[in-house]
Amino acid sequence: MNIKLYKPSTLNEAVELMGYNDGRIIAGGTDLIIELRNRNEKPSYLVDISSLSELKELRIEKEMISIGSAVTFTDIIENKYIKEKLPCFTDMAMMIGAVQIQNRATIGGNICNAAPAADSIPLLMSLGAKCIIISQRGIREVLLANFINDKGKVRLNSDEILKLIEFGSLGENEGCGFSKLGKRNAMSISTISCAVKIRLDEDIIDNICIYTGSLGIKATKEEKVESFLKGVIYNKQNIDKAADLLSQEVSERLGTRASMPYKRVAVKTVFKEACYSAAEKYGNDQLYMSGGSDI
Amino acid sequence: MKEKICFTLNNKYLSIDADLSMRLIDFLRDELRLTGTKEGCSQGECGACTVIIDGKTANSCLVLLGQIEGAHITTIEGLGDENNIHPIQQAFIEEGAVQCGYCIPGMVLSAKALLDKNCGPDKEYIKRAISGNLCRCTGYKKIEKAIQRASEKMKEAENDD
Amino acid sequence: MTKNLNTIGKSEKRVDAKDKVMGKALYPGDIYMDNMVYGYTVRSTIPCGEIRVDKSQAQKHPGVLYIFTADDIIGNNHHGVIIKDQEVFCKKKVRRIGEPIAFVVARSYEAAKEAAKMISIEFKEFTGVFDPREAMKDDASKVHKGKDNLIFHYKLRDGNIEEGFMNSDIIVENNYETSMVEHSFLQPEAGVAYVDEKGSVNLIVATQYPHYDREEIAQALNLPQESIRIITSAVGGAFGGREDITLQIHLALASYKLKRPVKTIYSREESFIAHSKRHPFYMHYKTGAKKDGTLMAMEAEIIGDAGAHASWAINILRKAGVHATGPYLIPNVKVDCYAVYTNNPYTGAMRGFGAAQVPMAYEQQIDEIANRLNINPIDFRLKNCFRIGSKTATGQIIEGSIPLGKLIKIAAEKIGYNISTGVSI
Repeated sequence: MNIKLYKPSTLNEAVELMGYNDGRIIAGGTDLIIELRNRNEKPSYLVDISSLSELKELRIEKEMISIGSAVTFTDIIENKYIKEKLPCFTDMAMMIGAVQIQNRATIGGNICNAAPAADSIPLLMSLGAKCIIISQRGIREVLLANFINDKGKVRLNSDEILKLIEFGSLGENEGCGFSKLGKRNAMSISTISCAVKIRLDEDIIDNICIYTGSLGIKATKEEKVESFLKGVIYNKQNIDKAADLLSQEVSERLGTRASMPYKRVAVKTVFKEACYSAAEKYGNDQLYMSGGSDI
Repeated sequence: MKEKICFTLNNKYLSIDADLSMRLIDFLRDELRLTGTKEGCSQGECGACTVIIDGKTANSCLVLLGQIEGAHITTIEGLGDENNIHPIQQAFIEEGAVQCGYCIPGMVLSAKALLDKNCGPDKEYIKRAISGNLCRCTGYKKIEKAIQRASEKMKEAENDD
Repeated sequence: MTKNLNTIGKSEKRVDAKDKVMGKALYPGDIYMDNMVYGYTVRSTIPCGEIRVDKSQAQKHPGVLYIFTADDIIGNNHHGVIIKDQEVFCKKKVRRIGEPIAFVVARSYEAAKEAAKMISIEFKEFTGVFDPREAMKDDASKVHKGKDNLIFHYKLRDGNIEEGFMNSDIIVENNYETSMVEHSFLQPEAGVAYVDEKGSVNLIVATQYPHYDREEIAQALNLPQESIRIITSAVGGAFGGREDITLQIHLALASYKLKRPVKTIYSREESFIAHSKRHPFYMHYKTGAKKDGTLMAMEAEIIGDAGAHASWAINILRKAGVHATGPYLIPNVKVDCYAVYTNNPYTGAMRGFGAAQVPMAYEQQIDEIANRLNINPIDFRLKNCFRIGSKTATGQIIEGSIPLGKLIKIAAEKIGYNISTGVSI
């Protein structure tokens, strides 16, 4: 493509390179290479960060999980701790593209590309993830929810590199779930996705955080549904009611879009699936007993 | 704008000067004339261009040449040769898993990456391993069977050693 | 009975399987020749209108050898499998998005693509017609000048349709529509043409009809067929989508004129735009039956959208008509099939060739009648399906093998349905 490609060997070098004008970062390249080929204007140079060891760290501490921006989805899938403690994260990673894509695509790339259908974004947002961003000017932190600006746009200056994403580990009485509706199993861009983080006090929903994907220009916090569920009993009846509320929200948000009649209905099941999976470790017995799950 | 790059291709060490922003598939096909790697969609959907990079499959249409510095690359040409065909290739022939053949090099390499890691995969593992390789002719059944057969043959051969 | 057969019942290994698993089989995109140059096709971006092409600026691009347009065709600028209604290069009018207008040959792909952007094409857009039902009307705009939009009308009449419906206890009437379908063969169109030492034009291409290709190239280049040789390479899937000409004439013409090997590979997007699709059908079905579940009459009107070129529309709509009753014995039948031009992407052969669309209609008709008569749809099908000795609506007496009843029974058993009691387990 006749673009100068730099391969820095340290993060510092990469940061320095991004200090010049009009460079672009390439990590997994699974989105960027397509974009470069389709576009007329090209960046003056590329900085390949895909093999920087500082960005490939996946650190799991008692209170905090931090994922380097160049960690691939396969790295996540193969991580035993994540599979055990945060299975929804493994599930999400396995639903992205297919094996070839998972092997190359990075979590940082998925975030910075900021596609409305990006699978990792609603889940990371529901976990309250923060982005750690580095440049020659120093390091800054920003909530992922504030980092994504618009469709395909993030609040990242041209000299900055997303270094890592971090979020708190799940507490004793917390659970997290992710669900995605696509046209097929593999190689599917999500039609609707939903992530739910829930905290239960006995059978009362103490706290809940809900994000949906593919239902707008960026992942959306479903505040109305959250406030409806906060403080109520976790049972099928309330989750069904919440699903109806979400459905209403979605039909208003999508308005006259052609996908509205379909998404309005489908979002209910996607949401319920994420909810049930978030609360799975408490057992969903009561849900199934009271009429069973319809998913 | 040519620059130096070194990597290992099909067990051969290469040190060359090339445009590092060229896609790996273009380098393999146009420069080295290794045309076993096929291009079907140019956007990572079809898997016809699958190669193995350091033990993991990748769509060579979505990798820049400069990104494989120091890596070990396997293309279909790096598997068996005429007189010493790889058991996966043999199994594809025997199971009748080949029709138009355009997806087959990628399919065989996805199978190889799987079997190198997991010598007795069940059907679900096989399906997942080839989920990024589209075949428009078959119903995938014979391909799954071929990979199963290859895994059995490879295990037998291991046990014989 | 089969024990003495040497071939039937035994699997043979494909002759080309070994080359294919080794990555050695040569598809046209895999061919590289000395002195080879590359072609890129410039296409219509509007579905209906007139064009004025000015290639003078593009011709000055340093990488360009030559830009071919309709003016460079000395022979017949028209081709097509049945009706010659496709232009090698559009001369004045365009009838669909994607119709070829020019072929830029340059030293590299990049140069050819760059130069393609420099060709100035003035489009004067007209209102097209995109619904075949509209296109059939007398006042509809004509896709091909001076030609009716109706390409073909297939009529099938058997028994007495009025009596059939009169003697029916129940009549079910519905509309059905099927969509356009893309073949998505895995290897996009590609080819290499060169002139050999005897002066013959050789074309290495993945095609379903080398002999048609040869004839069409000969006519366009005004050469005897003996000077054209088509070499069919490995074909990376076709499914009907390689029955019409795409890049064949362009490549042959360019290599003949430039006396150099010329290669073209379509991108996936270009492939989508360049070749045919499955015909969308608009079907109106009316089916009558007696209370006891005996089919009495069926009337069907089937309109196929041929898009801008006829391709195999005649054969496909005929086949749709022949298969319109499905494998069911119906004594009174009236079928009308129409193939119609529109300014949509053109449609042609695709797996099933017209027989794949109609089951959606006739099978749903059967289900609805069975449902309304409170008869199990499996029993209903068994009662009415063709057997040895049945006469089809086209008058064919089925004499050979027709294992349909047997298959329905096997399938029913596998889903846990007990034929003798009529109860699913």
